[in-house]
Amino acid sequence: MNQIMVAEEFSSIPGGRYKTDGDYSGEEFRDTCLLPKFKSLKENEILLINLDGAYGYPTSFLEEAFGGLARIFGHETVLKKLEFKSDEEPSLIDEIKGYIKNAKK
Amino acid sequence: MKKIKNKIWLDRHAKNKFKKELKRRYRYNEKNYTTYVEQSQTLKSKKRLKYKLSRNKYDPLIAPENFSLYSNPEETLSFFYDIEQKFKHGNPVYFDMKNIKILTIDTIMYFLAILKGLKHARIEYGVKGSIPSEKKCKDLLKASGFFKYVNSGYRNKDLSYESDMIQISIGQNANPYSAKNICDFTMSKLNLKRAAIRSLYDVMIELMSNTKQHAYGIRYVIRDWYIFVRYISEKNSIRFIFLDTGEGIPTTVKRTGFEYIKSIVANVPLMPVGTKHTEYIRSALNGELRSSTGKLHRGKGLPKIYSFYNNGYIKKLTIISNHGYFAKGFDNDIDNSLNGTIYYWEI
Repeated sequence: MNQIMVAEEFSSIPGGRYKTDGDYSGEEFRDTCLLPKFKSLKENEILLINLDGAYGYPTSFLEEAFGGLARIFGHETVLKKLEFKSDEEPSLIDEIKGYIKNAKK
Repeated sequence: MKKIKNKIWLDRHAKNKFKKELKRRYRYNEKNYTTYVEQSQTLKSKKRLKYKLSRNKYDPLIAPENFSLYSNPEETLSFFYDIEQKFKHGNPVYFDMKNIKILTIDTIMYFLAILKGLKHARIEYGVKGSIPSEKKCKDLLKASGFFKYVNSGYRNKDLSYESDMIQISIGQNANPYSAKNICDFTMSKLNLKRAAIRSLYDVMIELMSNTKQHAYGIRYVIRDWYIFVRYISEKNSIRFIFLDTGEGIPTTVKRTGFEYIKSIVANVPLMPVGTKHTEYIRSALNGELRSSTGKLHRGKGLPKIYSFYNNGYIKKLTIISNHGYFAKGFDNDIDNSLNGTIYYWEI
């Protein structure tokens, strides 16, 4: 299964929304990690996002990364192809799904 | 004949050339003369200012006994207004802190921000001062890191982690390293696991991001935030103070058409019907579509912080911004305005 371990493959200290806001932003994560893997997915493949191991996930980081992805590909496609794992903070999963559903251009 | 013709042409040419040269010289001299006058005038005024500063004629300004924006915002803000006015008029100030009995670091952060703003605006100012006589206040001032940012004879050790506080730190971006340090400090002092500080990390980054994204209009070039963290052993809790000296929530929040008209009407004397600044803060905390960007997916940071307050994760949330003072039990506007926003909370 395709997987992204955010804390290991990107950073354990995620930052703000845009690249201009500082290091490890949601935009940077989307462009460097999420988007290439998402684009390379085949028809029935799923991408698992493992959120454990980080200090925390700021709202603007999550919104820009996942909401931003939904603004590119549409929320239905993104929800169909992404799965989330967060044993440390299970409520994060619903929060992210909310950002994806409510993502508007 | 041909020779005469050539001579006439040459004479005319030489004449024109000479005229042009004269004109050029005249313009050059005139320009140089005005620059010279301007330069000498600026030099004179600079010399005059230096002379004024060196005469030791410092206007004494006595800080209030309760020198705290948190518990005495009116008097403290009025004091800062006086200081700013003196600086702007080129009057050197003697900042007398001797009589201070209650001191909170928000005030010191605000003072540092004012000094930085003046420096950035290239306003020359002279300031001297005394430290508080009260031992508790004096120790807090020294430990806060204040002397790192001003010229003084005091040696300033960085006691972060060894002591019970993280000294005042200043930044511009959403800095995950600073947020991590603060979370590490919180974990070590309160004996918490990493899962317990995830929301704190979120709060820190959101406030820093807000400073970068919303707090400053285009006229502000310095986009700074200030943070100070202190462990209170008696209560086994940690107190956080975060300041951005931008335009403030009530100014940057997106107003509805009706509120806009109300705010204009409120500026007319004897018609106090404008929306209160505290209401704008409350409204931004409730997430009532008030991001200054106007985008639906933005402006989620403050509501998230408010949800942490409502579910009890953070306590004693207090926000002062412009005339607004949002706190439990005190939900009213203050007379004097704070340039920016200060957030206080405890864990």
